Amino acid sequence: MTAPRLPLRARYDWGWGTVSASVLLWAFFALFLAYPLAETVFQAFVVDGRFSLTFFRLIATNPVQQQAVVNSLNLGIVSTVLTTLIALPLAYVMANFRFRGKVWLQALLLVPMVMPPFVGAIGMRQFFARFGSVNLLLMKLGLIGEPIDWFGGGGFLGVVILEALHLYPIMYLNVAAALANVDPSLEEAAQNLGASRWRVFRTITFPLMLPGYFAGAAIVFIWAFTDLGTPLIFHYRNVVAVQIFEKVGDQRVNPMGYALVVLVAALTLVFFYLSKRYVGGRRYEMFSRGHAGDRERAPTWLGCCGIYAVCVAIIGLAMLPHLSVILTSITKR
Amino acid sequence: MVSVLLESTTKAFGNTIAVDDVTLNIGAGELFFLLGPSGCGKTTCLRMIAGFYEPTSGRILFGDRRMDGVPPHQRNTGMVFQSYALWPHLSVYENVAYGLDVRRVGPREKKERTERALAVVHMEEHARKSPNQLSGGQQQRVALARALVIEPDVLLLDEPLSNLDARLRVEMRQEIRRIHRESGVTAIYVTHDQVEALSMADRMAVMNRGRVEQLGSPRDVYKRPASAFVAGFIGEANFLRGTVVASEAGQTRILTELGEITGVAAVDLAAGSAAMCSIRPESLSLAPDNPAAPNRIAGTLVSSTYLGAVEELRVDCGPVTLAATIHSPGPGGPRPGDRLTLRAAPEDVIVLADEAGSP
Repeated sequence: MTAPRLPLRARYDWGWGTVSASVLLWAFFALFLAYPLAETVFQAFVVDGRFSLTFFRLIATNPVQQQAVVNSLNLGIVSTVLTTLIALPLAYVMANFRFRGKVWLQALLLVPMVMPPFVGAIGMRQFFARFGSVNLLLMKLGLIGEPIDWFGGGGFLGVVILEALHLYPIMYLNVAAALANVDPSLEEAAQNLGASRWRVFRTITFPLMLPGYFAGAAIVFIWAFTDLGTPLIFHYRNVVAVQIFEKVGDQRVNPMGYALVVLVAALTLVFFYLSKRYVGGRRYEMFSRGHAGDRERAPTWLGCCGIYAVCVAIIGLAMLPHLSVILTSITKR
Repeated sequence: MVSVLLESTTKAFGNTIAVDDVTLNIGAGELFFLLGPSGCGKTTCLRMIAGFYEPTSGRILFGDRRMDGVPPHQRNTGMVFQSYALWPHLSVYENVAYGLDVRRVGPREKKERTERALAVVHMEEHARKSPNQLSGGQQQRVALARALVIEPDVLLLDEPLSNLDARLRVEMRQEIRRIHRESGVTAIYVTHDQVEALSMADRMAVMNRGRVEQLGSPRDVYKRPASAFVAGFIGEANFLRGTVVASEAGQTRILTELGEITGVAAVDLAAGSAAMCSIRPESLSLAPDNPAAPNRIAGTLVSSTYLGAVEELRVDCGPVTLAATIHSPGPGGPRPGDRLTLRAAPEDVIVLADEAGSP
């Protein structure tokens, strides 16, 4: 710690490889990160060559813009909650049970992540549109007379479901890693003192997983908060991302778009900072010296069926829209 | 306080048998040790008593209550883990109070009992700290308080001192003895450290390859090992192989590479059968010039290590080299290269069955 400071020349590697690599990296970030950001900030704050908060005042006073921010926040929060409800039980089951085909299921569970969500949105719309496949089928079977409006509420539900089905693998990966990091003997100690499995999870396992959970939650939240494609396809237009797209994508750029970008970037940074500051920063030192209890146990036959049913249902739901797009693309009209 | 009974308990993991037909009867209030090398099945036994493993066959009873099949959280045992397993997100106080919360103990009683448990292990002034701020020895004390505060039927200790330095280990041995005496709880203590077992145990079971090799008080086990494994694992021993000549009046004579040796047989051995005898280094002494005394072994001193009160000798006796620990002689004691004669009292020589593969 108190080693004498070396002169600058000796402290760094000045070989041409290192120097050129770092110059390239700096140039890359300057060109693709710093420049666009600076440009955006400039456009947002400078009106007619002078610093101004006009656009931010407009956002603050315009009910449409306010609603857009609120809608986006809702989208982020509900998507995060939904992915949690999907990913947390999955990760818990995968960490605690040993069964045939687990490796395959775990791999398949990650597939929805690589599919672009708006493609799913297109498929979903074909399925559940007013005269989509599901309504047509139900009407043909005589089960319903009138088509059902599946995505009532202006498409919010549809967007949120699509986001959740697309983003749960990110949450799953983070939560599974956090769970693997919890020393099983910490759970055994609680069980030994009389706590039921549920109580152990509630009072020991989950609090210890929180840092990892928040890492996943922050990514999912920010993703859903800023996603453009999915709300666009569901015609759920009054969210920040779509607002920006419409204003900046025009021939005549509306500087309001830049102001919104700055707002989103600032909010994102704040969320990220908060999650790091209050939870992510707390890393627990957990290690098992000596005998580590084996966490995995074999489920009952019925339990195994249940695990399969739930996994297949989730994977199926997440893949169905994509499948429908593929099917549509190869069907003759 | 209850007694613990393992009745012909077997535990198999796949094809490996970790615990093989073990029967243990542990008395109420006893400090009982499971001692053996790693992989001998001692921890598996402990985890079966705690309920983390279910026996493949056999029964487990606390008093007259059948315990196999009862989940761990309903067994009322208090376990101290090798890694301490303190919860890093809870304070020392919350760690200790956890078991009382689970038992829905009222707030006043909870505070009282938690503070008393912390006082017993001398940790009362650290109650507000996080476990990460404590030293290894302090964490160990908290883990002990956490297990004791619920007034468990059985206290289970899984190598509790193996992560502490030598000085602290000696101190904690005394502490655990004291706490056990004060609480009167039935305690089962797993260790591979023979010194811990010898110095603390009321009774102990020496385990090897999933089986109990010997059961008895530390004195019995040390003085009268029942097998070559026990003699070699606990303390040091010189082994001499040979054939039984005759057994009479409680003494057995065997013919070894070093001549005829008389000792006490641990098991019945017929004349002519293969046997081995075990002699502790401290049972060997420099023989007075009395050619009539039995068990005289002549040899050449290879080396001697001076340890203050005692001196460790290595004596080359031809086919084998013996280790002997003798009270330090004054100046003029034997020097390397000197011829000398060792002797052992017949009651200190244990004659054992010769097992293939034993030391």
